[in-house]
Amino acid sequence: MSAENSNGHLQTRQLPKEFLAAAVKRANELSLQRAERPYRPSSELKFLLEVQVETAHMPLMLVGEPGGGKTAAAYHLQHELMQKTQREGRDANVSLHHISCHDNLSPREILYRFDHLARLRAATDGKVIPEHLVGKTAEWLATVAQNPDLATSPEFISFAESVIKVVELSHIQAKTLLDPMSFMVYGPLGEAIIRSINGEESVVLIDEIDKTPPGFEDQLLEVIEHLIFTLEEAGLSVAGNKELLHIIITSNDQRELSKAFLRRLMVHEIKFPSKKELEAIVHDHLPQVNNRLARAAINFIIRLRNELELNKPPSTAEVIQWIKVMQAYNQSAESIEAYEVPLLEMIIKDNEDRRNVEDYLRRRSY
Amino acid sequence: MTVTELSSNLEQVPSQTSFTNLLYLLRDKGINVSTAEWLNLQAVLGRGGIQTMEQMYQTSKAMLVKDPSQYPDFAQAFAQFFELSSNNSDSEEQNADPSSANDTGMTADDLALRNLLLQNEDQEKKVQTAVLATPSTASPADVPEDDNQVEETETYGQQTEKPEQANDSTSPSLLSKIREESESRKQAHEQESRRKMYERVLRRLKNKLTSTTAEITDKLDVKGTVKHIAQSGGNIVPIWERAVNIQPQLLLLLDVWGSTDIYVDEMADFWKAASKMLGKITILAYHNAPYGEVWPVEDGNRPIHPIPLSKLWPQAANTKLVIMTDATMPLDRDDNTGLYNRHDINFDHPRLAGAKPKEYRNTGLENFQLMGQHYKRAVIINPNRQRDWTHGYAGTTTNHSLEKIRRIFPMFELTEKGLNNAIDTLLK
Repeated sequence: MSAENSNGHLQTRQLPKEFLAAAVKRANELSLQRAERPYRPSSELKFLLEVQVETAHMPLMLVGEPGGGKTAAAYHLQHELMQKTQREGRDANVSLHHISCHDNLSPREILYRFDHLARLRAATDGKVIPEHLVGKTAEWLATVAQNPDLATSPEFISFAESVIKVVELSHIQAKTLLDPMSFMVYGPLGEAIIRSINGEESVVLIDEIDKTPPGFEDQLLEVIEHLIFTLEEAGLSVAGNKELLHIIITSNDQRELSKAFLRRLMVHEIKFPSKKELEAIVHDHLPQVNNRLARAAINFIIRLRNELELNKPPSTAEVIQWIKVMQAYNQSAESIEAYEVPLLEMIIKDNEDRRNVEDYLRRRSY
Repeated sequence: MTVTELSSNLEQVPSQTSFTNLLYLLRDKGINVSTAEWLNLQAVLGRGGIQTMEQMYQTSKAMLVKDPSQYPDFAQAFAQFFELSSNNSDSEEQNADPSSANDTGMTADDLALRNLLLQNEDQEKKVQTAVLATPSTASPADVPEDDNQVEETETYGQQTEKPEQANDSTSPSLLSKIREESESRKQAHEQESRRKMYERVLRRLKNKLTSTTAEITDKLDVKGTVKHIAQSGGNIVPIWERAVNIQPQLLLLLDVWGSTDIYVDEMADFWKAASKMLGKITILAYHNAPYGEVWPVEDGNRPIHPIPLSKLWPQAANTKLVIMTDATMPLDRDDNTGLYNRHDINFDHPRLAGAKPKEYRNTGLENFQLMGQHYKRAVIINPNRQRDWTHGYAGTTTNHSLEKIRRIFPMFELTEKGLNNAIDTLLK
């Protein structure tokens, strides 16, 4: 976050450390809460997730309307895997790495980046032998040159041994410090692959891959199929464990993905839930919901979706939020049944749709 | 029955590749399954990941079909290969289709595995039926409270009361799923994929159109100039105002009624996609040829609010014109709707007050030519496929009109490739 001061210079607004720690903690909590949110996958999706984890070990791409539960499916998978590992008495640390795609995202960014600056700093620091030691060595060398007998004195041997140790140490330190592997900063997918090598289980969510620039997915073919990627700076290729890394990809179909990429995935379309399924989903999310209000709202949504051709039909997530807010503001089921529908803005976002729905409501309310 | 119990039945699964001819059947239906995808499915089958026919259906659909618009074709091929249709009408349809002969090329091992999957399916269904029949498992959301729900519950009731249905060699739930995929959703899928295709192509046009904004004008930005002088320590540099809203507009002209009626779905989808992707665009209509006037598309097939063509010319220089027509009509017609005809206009119409009769004296062809002169960037999108452009409408020789109109405007078919080429032409 930045702001302009009176001199017109940009200044960075610092977040106090105690707040930063709290914010990071809160973010982690939210991520876990998201995984624990109720989610009711269709029997088909449930089975395909099982196939993905147990036998196929290949990424699953979910397509369908926005707000239909594609992203939530990945969090659900994480939650299910954590529960499974807990049941089996193993460490329930299944991490979720959420990659939100955008048009500037590069494939390498999600795998790793090499921190060149840190390595340069380390190289400079590693070469320096303390100045006082250099000076003292020069003094001893001059003294021993004048009086060779002193070369066998316990004082000199002790000093020489300590210098060699320091030099050896600095070499070892330099070797370790300058090892390229120490400067790899892993992206979400890279980190999950490294975790899988270490025997830790992860779910990677590549969310809205259709927002990436064309050709993005073609640079990930090897990673997607074999979990192999090359760390160029170290001259190494590493391969993850497919049984421990589960990739979920979502797409809203804004651009066509390459055939080579698609052939390496399973694809499943999440359909809008049936009336009965939607009722159950609403009850899962809002256990205290007024049943009549929920039923009236769901009936209305189903009618809208069936009778009007909407550019952006209300999604499951929007319906849940809408019912939640209606309940909070004591809206009645009767008003919806009489086609006097409150808070339409929460479910109808497109201007043309809004005109159509208002027209529909006028006709029905006569 | 648990999955583990079911998998014990699958020990008889043959180790070699199974159901190979399904691969070829799918490819014949236009679903280009690759060898690698097929082997992936075989691997899952080999590891015992598929226990029932329904699971076979779900897994093979997810692994082999990457475009949901192909689900209906997949469902048909799957049912045909595994001979799942028990319905008479389905059988008749199959017999009528020469490509769906009874011989689906299953080996003895394939048949054994097919029967095993069906057998497991039945066993699993029995378990589900038993669970459904237990009243305590019903959640509050399952309690019917209106008519529709009662119907749904009755469907469940039929299953619970007639468990013998589950013993049928063909699974009702799987069959209903296949029927749903192959029939009721086919039209919706076609429409959806068509709309998405239009949106994809139009997004390209939108991106190009919106990138041509913010051009420098010849008007001095006084405030900006003074501010710059103050900030740069007295260095005088004139700052010019920028026009941000001069991007070219788009006019979509639809040929409605008559021969284009059969393309009404495609045209309406294109119109909707254009409105969605390009925001406020003008959409006007005419019939066969513009005879001096057009009208807002909301009017339908006849002008309720006619707009004289001459009112379009002032904006034509900055407007790109897309005409959607099959360009098919007689050259001369008794009812004056041919290409060489001109209309008798009722100038008493209040909307035409002030319109000059001479504007209306052109023939349809002359008005197309006039449009071509005013709109420097114009294309025709023809919903009829290019291969049929020479045939004419309903076996007539009206393709002559198409050839004449095509000389005025470049013409492209309403396909992804055609639309992309049309956009390239518009953006030249």
